Amino acid sequence: MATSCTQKHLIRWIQLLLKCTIFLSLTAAAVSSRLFSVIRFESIIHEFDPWFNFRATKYLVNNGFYKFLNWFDDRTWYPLGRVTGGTLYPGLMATSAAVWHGLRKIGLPIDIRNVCVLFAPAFSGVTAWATYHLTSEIKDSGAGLLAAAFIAIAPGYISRSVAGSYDNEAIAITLLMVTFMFWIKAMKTGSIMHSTFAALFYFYMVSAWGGYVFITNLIPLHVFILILMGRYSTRLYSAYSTWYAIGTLASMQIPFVGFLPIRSNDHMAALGVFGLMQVVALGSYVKSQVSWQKFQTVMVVSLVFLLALGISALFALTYFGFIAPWTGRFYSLWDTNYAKIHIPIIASVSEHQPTAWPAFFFDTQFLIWLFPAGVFLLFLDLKDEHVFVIAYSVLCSYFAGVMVRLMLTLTPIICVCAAVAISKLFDVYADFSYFFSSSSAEKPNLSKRDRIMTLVTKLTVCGSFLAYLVLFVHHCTWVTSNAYSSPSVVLPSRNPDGSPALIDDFREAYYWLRMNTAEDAKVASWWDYGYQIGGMADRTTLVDNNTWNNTHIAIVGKAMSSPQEKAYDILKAHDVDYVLVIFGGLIGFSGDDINKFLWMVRISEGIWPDEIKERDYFTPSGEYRMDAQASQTMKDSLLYKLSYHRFPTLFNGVEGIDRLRGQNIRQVDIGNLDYFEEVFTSENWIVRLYKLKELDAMGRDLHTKGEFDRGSSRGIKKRVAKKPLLDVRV
Amino acid sequence: MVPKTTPKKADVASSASKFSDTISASYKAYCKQVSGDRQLQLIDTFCAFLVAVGVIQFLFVCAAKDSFPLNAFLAGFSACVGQFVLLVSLRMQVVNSFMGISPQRAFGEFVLASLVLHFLCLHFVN
Amino acid sequence: MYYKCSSLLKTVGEMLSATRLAAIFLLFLNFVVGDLDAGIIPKLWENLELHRTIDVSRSYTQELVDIRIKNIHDEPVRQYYFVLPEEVFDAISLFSSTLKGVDAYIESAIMPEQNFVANGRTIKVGVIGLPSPIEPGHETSILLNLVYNSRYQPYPGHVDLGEEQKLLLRTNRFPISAYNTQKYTLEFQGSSSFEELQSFNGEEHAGMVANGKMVVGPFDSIMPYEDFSPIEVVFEHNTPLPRVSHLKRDIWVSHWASSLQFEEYYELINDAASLKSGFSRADYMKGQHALKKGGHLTALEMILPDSSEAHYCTDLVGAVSTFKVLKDHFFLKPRYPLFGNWKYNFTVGWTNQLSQFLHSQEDGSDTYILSFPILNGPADTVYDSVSLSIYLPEGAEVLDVWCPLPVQKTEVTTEKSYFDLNQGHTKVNIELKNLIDRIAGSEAFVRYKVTSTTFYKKPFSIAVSVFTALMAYFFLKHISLMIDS
Repeated sequence: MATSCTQKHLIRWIQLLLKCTIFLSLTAAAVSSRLFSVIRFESIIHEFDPWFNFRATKYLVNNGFYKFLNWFDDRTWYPLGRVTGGTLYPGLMATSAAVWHGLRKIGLPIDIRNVCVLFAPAFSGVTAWATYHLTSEIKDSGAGLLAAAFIAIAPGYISRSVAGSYDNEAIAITLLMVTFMFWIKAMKTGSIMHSTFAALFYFYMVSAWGGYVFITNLIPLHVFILILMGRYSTRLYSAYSTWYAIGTLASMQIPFVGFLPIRSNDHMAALGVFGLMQVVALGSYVKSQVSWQKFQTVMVVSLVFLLALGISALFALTYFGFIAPWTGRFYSLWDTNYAKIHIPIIASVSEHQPTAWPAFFFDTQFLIWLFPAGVFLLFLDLKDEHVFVIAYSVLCSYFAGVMVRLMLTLTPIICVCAAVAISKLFDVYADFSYFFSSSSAEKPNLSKRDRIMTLVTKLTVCGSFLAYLVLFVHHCTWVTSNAYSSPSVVLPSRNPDGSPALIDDFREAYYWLRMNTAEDAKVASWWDYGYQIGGMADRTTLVDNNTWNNTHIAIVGKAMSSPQEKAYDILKAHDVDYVLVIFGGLIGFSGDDINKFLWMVRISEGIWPDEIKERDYFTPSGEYRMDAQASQTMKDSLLYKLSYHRFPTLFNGVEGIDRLRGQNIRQVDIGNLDYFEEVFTSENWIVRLYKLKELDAMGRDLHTKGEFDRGSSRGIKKRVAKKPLLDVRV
Repeated sequence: MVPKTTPKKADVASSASKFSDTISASYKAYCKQVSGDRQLQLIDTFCAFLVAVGVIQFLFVCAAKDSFPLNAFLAGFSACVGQFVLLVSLRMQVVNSFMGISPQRAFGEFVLASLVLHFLCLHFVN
Repeated sequence: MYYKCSSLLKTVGEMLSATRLAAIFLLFLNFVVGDLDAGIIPKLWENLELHRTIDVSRSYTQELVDIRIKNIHDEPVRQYYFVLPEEVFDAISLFSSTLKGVDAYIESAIMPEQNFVANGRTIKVGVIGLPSPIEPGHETSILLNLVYNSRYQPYPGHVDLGEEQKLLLRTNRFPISAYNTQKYTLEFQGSSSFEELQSFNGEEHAGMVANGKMVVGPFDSIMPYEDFSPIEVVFEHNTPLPRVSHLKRDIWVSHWASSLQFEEYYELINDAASLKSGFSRADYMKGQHALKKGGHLTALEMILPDSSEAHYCTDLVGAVSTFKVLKDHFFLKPRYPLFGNWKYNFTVGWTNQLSQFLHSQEDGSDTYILSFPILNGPADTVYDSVSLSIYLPEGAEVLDVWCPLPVQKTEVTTEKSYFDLNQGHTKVNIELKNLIDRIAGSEAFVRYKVTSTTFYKKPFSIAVSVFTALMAYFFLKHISLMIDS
């Protein structure tokens, strides 16, 4: 009838309007909740890794794409240099440069720094849109909107995509969701076009993040499970084969990936499933032509034969070296103690530690208990796309439990499953159509009491879940504001009179380095600060956060752990001009070098176990102390001397109080610094810069020279003529 | 007593005959499907050609005992494998079109995917 | 020609004369290239008494030369030639003269293009135009005011933290003049202690220190270009010597927002004595040197135009939070105290109302005159080079640019900024060198034309672009990529 037609049209228009409004407000919420640090402090790149990405983007924008791909950086890892063009994932920088160029073309010459800082919030809106489409394929658009809302503000995702966190994850999660969205669409319809798009976005993802291996293994796993469940169909063949053929070929175009897809064990699963898919296709064709009886034997024989062939080929190729064995990072995912013993650098990164239980709640609040419910509900349905979600959830739950950093990849699927769960709940309990239907034919006979009870139940459940949702938003905003919005380059503090003040020591020291040292000066520091020194101070560093050369890092660690003379020789041999040390003892800054010292010792001990022993740096009773009870090796080490140089002067000259460790540091333990000279210390003593002293003009070693200078400043001693002992008086 | 070996031999013989029966039955069914359908014949010829080209490339690498430059070999080989896979996907849709995808749309998607594949191969060959 | 000496136009007048006279004499000597012998300057005058006072209280040198001159020619003469050594000329900021006793400026200019050679040294010549010609045998007195950056050397070059800073000034002991000088004295003032490094020929020409001044001389009968030997004086100057090696000052004019936005990029260096050993923060904090006087620079004070708002200060590494604005005084504390030879680059910006600076010509021809201050920088500073850029609205036509100071280069180009979809903002760039903070009050003028068509062109072109984009999207949506039907 006409009225119902127009009614339907009206309803569709209202739905469309609601959807648009919801999407707009979601994007606004996603972007604005990531802007806390920009408003509180300024538009600045945060942390450590984003500084390298920013420097690479500046290089790309200034020198063009060809020079960027062929960039050899001689201002890092001195004197080795780094083939940066071939050892980074260019997706992030290329996208930023494209955005920058695009904005200039339309008349908005926005500074590249602002483009980089606001990059992640901008792409979070795209993630929400992609998650909406993915979840709509899984269930329906209602669930899609819920999932988009969850991913827009979930702290697990915000932690790596605040404004200023210009890291690979900013774009990687977006591309992850988009790739999965296209994969599910392709798998459902068998459309070659969607598979091609999935492959192209997979290529984009490979160019952006090292975690692309996750997709490389998850999609084949999904296909494999479907085959095992007997759900092979021609649509599946079409989708997977197209994705694999185009995706793998495309992924080899990235210089950093190169031939890994055919050489590394990480990628063999995808190749294996591809081969298996061809076999299964052939087998299914044969099965359709002959009877089941005859086919059974053929199938068994050929399966056994192929399995044996595949496994032996894999082992043979790995043994002969054509295929690289599993990497250390992969081992550390299965054996959490592996890294600590074999690769201390991986173990020393705080992000690689196992996840603590509260972290799950902190990052997702009530979604974490809806997550298993959603997975279970999908089990009840168990369509092909649900198998994907289940495989993703199970696999990622394990990995998120092993490494804190991988919590980020779990968050999107938590949002999807939780959205499915709540959507199903609301399907039943938010269905008030019974009360609004006019015709009596639709209303079955229910007593009034039953009707009221139904209404009350529905209202209670809906009300309580709405309250949960409100609490969720409240929690997410609080977590984002307090935990994940710190730039870590500036620290907030309070003046004595209560007004807000900033601890800007890092930038003070880096700017001093930039303005007052030679252009080609080399700075030695622990690898944590390498990217920041390269980005802000613009000076050549010895080691940085890329940590690709363990021995070079061990050299710096050895220099920090050795006595002055040895450290001077090591650093002089590497042309070092300045040494940078972070010291938090005056104001209680906990991320300082003395707290990281044991890692320096461990890493250098891994290379020189006969020269550096970790045991020597502890007290005889096994404690890690800095005061009078510290071991002599500890007191002689360069880092101890550089951190505490002139520190007791601020107190009474004899003993200083280290606020961070709560210990008294004596001047007599610190001793004299003969080989290094202090050139700058920041206002709160957080960053301390030292220069290597020039060799003595008279050829003395610097310790003797120092002793002489101290002796001569005390005054010239009078030479006393001593009477001979022998008394020759008779 | 019936010797134990004879039932095995019989099993093997029967399974072998089952095997050859299956093969011949599938081959007959295949010929029936292809005869009369020009599209399928065309697709199958193209597939056979691609397999031949791929095998030739592989044999060349084995004969030359050196795969330098590997990217060129991979590009050529991937072109064969990728195009083969796309053709098989198209064939499946010709025989039995997927739900929601008309035959014309299937062909259009095939062309798009082939263009992307060959663009990537050209880039990879360098 | 006399000029009214109101306080506003005082400094304007000082240099205004320079531009006119220089042009006249350049025209006259235009065809002369290469170095001329200084003997070419006609000896029409005799300096009866020349008293030279050098004031070292600021980071630049202020010299006051008091000459009583007598016309020894047989005709009335109006021009007096004043000689400048090349080092002084390269660093000169101000060159002006008055008649003694009369509070009015007289014409004075330097001839920048022409080099002269005297006694083996290169010199430059300035010319003073007396208001009325002096009869032969008559006398008159003129006062010359020279301000230049003589680049004091810290003496000793390296000091400890808290040590008093002494500077070395090297200048010519005897007057270098084109004419005979009968009597000459040299006086130093502006510091609490003076010391001459090496006395000349024993005690005969040594300087005497008394009452915070040092007087050298008096000397008699000095021939023209006789003696170029220097005098080296060490004096105590326990304050920093900030020098801006380059200032890039941008002024953005917006008619739509009625605002004038200033943005300045300073490359600051402190020319004080360097520290002997490295900077020890422990000694600095223990001795509370941040509050003590010394060669280190802990804060900068700038005086901004009235009622300025939206102040900001940034660095090359991010925003600087240690600045404060109190009633048009902008106090900036750099990230670290600047000791000798330490550099610090920073950007400062603020916004003013356009009505404070813009005047429109009332004849309805859409012509505007923008008057803007040349400098707003910190006190007691020397600027090696200044690049002053005025960005006028898109499509503005520049009619006239006038600057009271000698300009190295002026050019008019375009520069694209936000939403400049046509040719971009019109940019007027003025290059200056050797400026000092004393001229901070002087103003330059730009006369330009903005018609109402140009005024409305901007939002119109933005609207057209947005419309085109939406239309393109609409049409693209309607293109069907379906193969069938």
